[in-house]
Amino acid sequence: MYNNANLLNNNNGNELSAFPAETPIGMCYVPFQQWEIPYAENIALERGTIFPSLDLPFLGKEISDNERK
Amino acid sequence: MNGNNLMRAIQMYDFYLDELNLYLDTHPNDRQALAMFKKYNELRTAAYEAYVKKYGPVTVDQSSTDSHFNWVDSPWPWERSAN
Repeated sequence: MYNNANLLNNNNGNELSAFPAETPIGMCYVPFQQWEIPYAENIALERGTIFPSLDLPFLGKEISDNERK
Repeated sequence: MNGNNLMRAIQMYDFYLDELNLYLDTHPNDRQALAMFKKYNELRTAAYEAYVKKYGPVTVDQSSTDSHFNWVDSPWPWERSAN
């Protein structure tokens, strides 16, 4: 049966929280995706995703200057 | 809507459904995602029907078989008018 350690109950029927109830130290956790208001369909096709939080373009340069310059 | 816009709409809806499919794979009970999947599925079917009615079948399963196999009417891929 479909099950997952993140079980929680919310009104949206999606019973999965971003993190499991217990998060022991020394372990890595990838937050479980939560629903969000998606892009409109024309924008989604251009951005390559319907989820704004997954819209992560490679900018091809460093965001901030660093000492090496 | 002309052909390009209709085909563009189909592509947009197809993409949207693929994205929702990926989300629903891991969130099968998410009501908002389910409602959106249903909505875009209907939009896509309607856009496809409108396109086929106006420009003929895109895939062979959409061709009519009552008296004439209209699959052969639209330009073949290698014909100049096809692209």
